[in-house]
Amino acid sequence: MKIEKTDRRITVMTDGDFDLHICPELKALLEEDLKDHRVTHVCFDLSKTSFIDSSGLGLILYIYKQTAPYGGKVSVINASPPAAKLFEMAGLDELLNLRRKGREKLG
Amino acid sequence: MAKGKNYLRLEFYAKDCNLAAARLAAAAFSAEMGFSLTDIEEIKVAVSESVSNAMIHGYGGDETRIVTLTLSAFENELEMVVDDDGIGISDVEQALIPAYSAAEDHLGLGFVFIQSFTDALDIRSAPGEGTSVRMCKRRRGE
Repeated sequence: MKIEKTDRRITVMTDGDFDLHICPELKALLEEDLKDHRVTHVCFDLSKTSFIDSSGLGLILYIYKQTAPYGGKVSVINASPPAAKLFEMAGLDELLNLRRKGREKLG
Repeated sequence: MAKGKNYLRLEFYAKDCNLAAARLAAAAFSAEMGFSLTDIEEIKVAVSESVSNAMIHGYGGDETRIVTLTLSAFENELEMVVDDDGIGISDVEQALIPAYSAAEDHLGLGFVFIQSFTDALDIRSAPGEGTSVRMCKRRRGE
Protein backbone atom coordinates (compact mmCIF):
# COMPACT_ATOMS: atom_id res chain seq x y z
CA MET A 1 0.00 0.00 0.00
CA LYS A 2 1.40 3.38 -1.00
CA ILE A 3 -0.02 6.78 -0.14
CA GLU A 4 1.32 9.84 -1.94
CA LYS A 5 0.45 13.25 -0.58
CA THR A 6 0.75 16.65 -2.13
CA ASP A 7 -0.74 19.77 -0.59
CA ARG A 8 -4.35 19.09 -1.46
CA ARG A 9 -4.31 15.72 -3.13
CA ILE A 10 -3.82 12.18 -1.90
CA THR A 11 -3.22 9.21 -4.18
CA VAL A 12 -3.77 5.78 -2.65
CA MET A 13 -2.27 2.80 -4.41
CA THR A 14 -3.21 -0.54 -2.89
CA ASP A 15 -1.25 -3.48 -4.18
CA GLY A 16 -2.66 -6.97 -3.97
CA ASP A 17 -5.99 -7.40 -2.25
CA PHE A 18 -8.20 -4.46 -1.29
CA ASP A 19 -10.39 -6.25 1.24
CA LEU A 20 -11.35 -6.29 4.91
CA HIS A 21 -7.74 -7.10 5.82
CA ILE A 22 -6.35 -3.68 4.85
CA CYS A 23 -9.43 -1.49 5.34
CA PRO A 24 -9.09 -0.60 9.06
CA GLU A 25 -5.46 0.53 8.72
CA LEU A 26 -6.11 2.43 5.50
CA LYS A 27 -9.20 4.08 6.96
CA ALA A 28 -7.26 5.28 10.00
CA LEU A 29 -4.45 6.69 7.83
CA LEU A 30 -6.86 8.53 5.55
CA GLU A 31 -9.00 9.88 8.38
CA GLU A 32 -5.84 11.43 9.85
CA ASP A 33 -4.98 13.03 6.49
CA LEU A 34 -8.51 14.33 5.94
CA LYS A 35 -9.30 15.72 9.35
CA ASP A 36 -8.22 19.32 8.65
CA HIS A 37 -10.28 19.42 5.42
CA ARG A 38 -7.33 20.64 3.33
CA VAL A 39 -7.34 17.68 0.98
CA THR A 40 -9.71 18.28 -1.93
CA HIS A 41 -9.02 15.19 -4.03
CA VAL A 42 -8.49 11.58 -3.00
CA CYS A 43 -7.55 9.31 -5.89
CA PHE A 44 -7.60 5.53 -5.56
CA ASP A 45 -5.26 4.04 -8.16
CA LEU A 46 -6.18 0.36 -8.57
CA SER A 47 -3.51 -0.44 -11.16
CA LYS A 48 -1.77 -2.81 -8.74
CA THR A 49 -4.94 -4.07 -7.04
CA SER A 50 -5.57 -7.70 -7.93
CA PHE A 51 -8.80 -8.04 -5.96
CA ILE A 52 -11.47 -5.80 -4.45
CA ASP A 53 -14.79 -6.58 -2.79
CA SER A 54 -17.53 -4.66 -0.99
CA SER A 55 -15.21 -3.92 1.95
CA GLY A 56 -12.92 -1.97 -0.41
CA LEU A 57 -15.86 -0.27 -2.12
CA GLY A 58 -17.31 0.56 1.29
CA LEU A 59 -14.11 2.26 2.38
CA ILE A 60 -13.90 4.33 -0.81
CA LEU A 61 -17.54 5.36 -0.38
CA TYR A 62 -16.82 6.25 3.26
CA ILE A 63 -13.97 8.55 2.14
CA TYR A 64 -16.31 10.11 -0.42
CA LYS A 65 -18.82 10.82 2.35
CA GLN A 66 -16.08 12.43 4.46
CA THR A 67 -14.83 14.75 1.71
CA ALA A 68 -18.03 15.60 -0.18
CA PRO A 69 -19.47 17.96 2.49
CA TYR A 70 -16.57 20.39 2.05
CA GLY A 71 -16.38 20.05 -1.73
CA GLY A 72 -13.81 17.30 -1.96
CA LYS A 73 -13.60 14.86 -4.82
CA VAL A 74 -12.86 11.14 -4.88
CA SER A 75 -11.84 9.27 -7.99
CA VAL A 76 -10.99 5.68 -8.85
CA ILE A 77 -8.58 5.00 -11.71
CA ASN A 78 -7.09 1.98 -13.44
CA ALA A 79 -9.86 -0.38 -12.36
CA SER A 80 -9.57 -3.88 -13.83
CA PRO A 81 -12.66 -5.21 -15.65
CA PRO A 82 -13.82 -7.31 -12.62
CA ALA A 83 -13.28 -4.33 -10.28
CA ALA A 84 -15.08 -1.93 -12.65
CA LYS A 85 -18.01 -4.34 -12.79
CA LEU A 86 -18.44 -4.17 -9.00
CA PHE A 87 -18.43 -0.36 -8.99
CA GLU A 88 -21.04 -0.37 -11.75
CA MET A 89 -23.21 -2.93 -9.98
CA ALA A 90 -23.04 -0.84 -6.82
CA GLY A 91 -24.02 2.26 -8.84
CA LEU A 92 -20.83 4.03 -7.75
CA ASP A 93 -19.04 4.38 -11.11
CA GLU A 94 -20.22 7.92 -11.87
CA LEU A 95 -20.13 9.12 -8.28
CA LEU A 96 -16.51 8.04 -7.96
CA ASN A 97 -15.41 9.13 -11.45
CA LEU A 98 -14.43 5.56 -12.29
CA ARG A 99 -11.83 5.08 -15.02
CA ARG A 100 -10.93 1.65 -16.23
CA LYS A 101 -7.48 0.28 -16.79
CA GLY A 102 -6.33 0.79 -20.38
CA ARG A 103 -9.41 2.88 -21.16
CA GLU A 104 -7.46 5.26 -23.37
CA LYS A 105 -6.20 2.43 -25.56
CA LEU A 106 -9.69 1.05 -26.07
CA GLY A 107 -11.02 4.49 -26.91
CA MET B 1 -18.98 -35.77 4.84
CA ALA B 2 -17.32 -35.69 1.45
CA LYS B 3 -19.56 -35.51 -1.59
CA GLY B 4 -19.43 -34.83 -5.29
CA LYS B 5 -16.46 -35.40 -7.58
CA ASN B 6 -14.14 -33.36 -5.42
CA TYR B 7 -14.37 -31.95 -1.94
CA LEU B 8 -12.38 -29.48 0.14
CA ARG B 9 -13.05 -28.19 3.63
CA LEU B 10 -11.14 -25.31 5.15
CA GLU B 11 -11.42 -24.30 8.80
CA PHE B 12 -9.80 -21.09 9.92
CA TYR B 13 -9.82 -18.40 12.58
CA ALA B 14 -12.04 -15.40 11.82
CA LYS B 15 -8.96 -13.27 11.15
CA ASP B 16 -9.24 -11.00 8.14
CA CYS B 17 -5.77 -12.09 6.98
CA ASN B 18 -7.34 -15.50 6.24
CA LEU B 19 -9.69 -14.04 3.62
CA ALA B 20 -6.99 -14.32 0.97
CA ALA B 21 -6.41 -18.00 1.80
CA ALA B 22 -10.15 -18.73 1.53
CA ARG B 23 -10.36 -16.97 -1.85
CA LEU B 24 -7.27 -18.73 -3.16
CA ALA B 25 -8.61 -22.13 -2.13
CA ALA B 26 -11.89 -21.43 -3.94
CA ALA B 27 -10.02 -20.10 -7.00
CA ALA B 28 -7.76 -23.14 -7.26
CA PHE B 29 -10.65 -25.54 -6.66
CA SER B 30 -12.85 -23.92 -9.32
CA ALA B 31 -9.96 -23.63 -11.81
CA GLU B 32 -9.50 -27.39 -11.52
CA MET B 33 -13.20 -27.78 -12.36
CA GLY B 34 -12.69 -25.80 -15.57
CA PHE B 35 -14.40 -22.53 -14.69
CA SER B 36 -13.48 -19.52 -16.84
CA LEU B 37 -11.29 -16.73 -15.46
CA THR B 38 -14.31 -14.43 -15.29
CA ASP B 39 -16.24 -17.04 -13.32
CA ILE B 40 -13.29 -17.56 -10.98
CA GLU B 41 -13.17 -13.81 -10.27
CA GLU B 42 -16.86 -13.94 -9.39
CA ILE B 43 -16.37 -17.00 -7.19
CA LYS B 44 -13.61 -15.16 -5.31
CA VAL B 45 -15.95 -12.22 -4.67
CA ALA B 46 -18.77 -14.50 -3.48
CA VAL B 47 -16.44 -16.32 -1.06
CA SER B 48 -14.86 -13.09 0.13
CA GLU B 49 -18.24 -11.48 0.83
CA SER B 50 -19.66 -14.45 2.70
CA VAL B 51 -16.51 -15.01 4.77
CA SER B 52 -16.28 -11.26 5.54
CA ASN B 53 -19.91 -11.34 6.65
CA ALA B 54 -19.16 -14.22 9.02
CA MET B 55 -16.21 -12.29 10.50
CA ILE B 56 -17.92 -8.89 10.76
CA HIS B 57 -21.54 -9.76 11.47
CA GLY B 58 -21.43 -13.32 12.76
CA TYR B 59 -18.53 -12.92 15.14
CA GLY B 60 -18.35 -9.13 15.52
CA GLY B 61 -14.60 -9.19 14.94
CA ASP B 62 -13.83 -11.94 17.47
CA GLU B 63 -10.78 -13.49 15.81
CA THR B 64 -10.72 -16.57 18.04
CA ARG B 65 -13.85 -18.03 16.43
CA ILE B 66 -13.89 -20.50 13.56
CA VAL B 67 -15.22 -20.01 10.03
CA THR B 68 -15.61 -23.02 7.74
CA LEU B 69 -15.52 -22.97 3.95
CA THR B 70 -16.67 -26.18 2.28
CA LEU B 71 -16.28 -26.65 -1.47
CA SER B 72 -17.90 -29.49 -3.39
CA ALA B 73 -17.48 -30.15 -7.10
CA PHE B 74 -20.34 -31.71 -9.02
CA GLU B 75 -20.53 -32.46 -12.75
CA ASN B 76 -21.20 -28.88 -13.83
CA GLU B 77 -21.66 -27.10 -10.55
CA LEU B 78 -19.60 -25.78 -7.67
CA GLU B 79 -21.17 -25.68 -4.23
CA MET B 80 -19.66 -23.30 -1.68
CA VAL B 81 -20.82 -23.28 1.93
CA VAL B 82 -19.60 -20.77 4.51
CA ASP B 83 -20.51 -21.59 8.10
CA ASP B 84 -20.09 -19.71 11.34
CA ASP B 85 -21.58 -20.30 14.77
CA GLY B 86 -21.89 -16.63 15.60
CA ILE B 87 -24.85 -14.41 16.52
CA GLY B 88 -26.94 -15.34 13.48
CA ILE B 89 -29.24 -13.18 11.39
CA SER B 90 -32.65 -12.37 12.86
CA ASP B 91 -34.20 -11.38 9.52
CA VAL B 92 -32.56 -13.00 6.51
CA GLU B 93 -34.84 -11.25 3.99
CA GLN B 94 -33.93 -7.88 5.45
CA ALA B 95 -30.22 -8.75 5.22
CA LEU B 96 -30.63 -9.36 1.48
CA ILE B 97 -31.89 -5.84 0.79
CA PRO B 98 -29.16 -3.76 -0.92
CA ALA B 99 -27.26 -1.33 1.31
CA TYR B 100 -28.87 -2.70 4.46
CA SER B 101 -26.18 -3.43 6.99
CA ALA B 102 -26.13 -3.83 10.73
CA ALA B 103 -22.48 -2.79 10.92
CA GLU B 104 -21.33 0.79 10.49
CA ASP B 105 -19.31 1.71 7.39
CA HIS B 106 -19.93 -1.61 5.75
CA LEU B 107 -21.43 -1.16 2.34
CA GLY B 108 -24.08 -3.83 2.77
CA LEU B 109 -23.71 -4.93 -0.81
CA GLY B 110 -22.13 -8.26 -0.03
CA PHE B 111 -25.25 -10.31 -0.58
CA VAL B 112 -26.08 -8.36 -3.74
CA PHE B 113 -22.74 -9.35 -5.24
CA ILE B 114 -23.21 -12.94 -4.07
CA GLN B 115 -26.66 -13.10 -5.65
CA SER B 116 -25.38 -11.65 -8.92
CA PHE B 117 -22.37 -13.93 -9.15
CA THR B 118 -23.94 -17.25 -8.17
CA ASP B 119 -26.86 -19.28 -9.53
CA ALA B 120 -28.35 -20.18 -6.17
CA LEU B 121 -28.11 -18.71 -2.69
CA ASP B 122 -29.56 -20.28 0.42
CA ILE B 123 -29.07 -18.75 3.86
CA ARG B 124 -29.93 -20.62 7.00
CA SER B 125 -29.69 -18.66 10.20
CA ALA B 126 -31.37 -17.95 13.49
CA PRO B 127 -30.38 -15.62 16.34
CA GLY B 128 -27.70 -17.27 18.46
CA GLU B 129 -27.44 -20.26 16.18
CA GLY B 130 -24.90 -19.14 13.61
CA THR B 131 -25.27 -18.75 9.87
CA SER B 132 -24.81 -21.11 6.97
CA VAL B 133 -24.53 -19.53 3.53
CA ARG B 134 -24.78 -21.99 0.64
CA MET B 135 -23.91 -20.75 -2.84
CA CYS B 136 -23.92 -22.67 -6.12
CA LYS B 137 -22.35 -21.71 -9.40
CA ARG B 138 -22.87 -23.58 -12.64
CA ARG B 139 -20.13 -24.04 -15.17
CA ARG B 140 -21.23 -22.85 -18.58
CA GLY B 141 -20.24 -24.56 -21.80
CA GLU B 142 -17.52 -23.00 -23.93
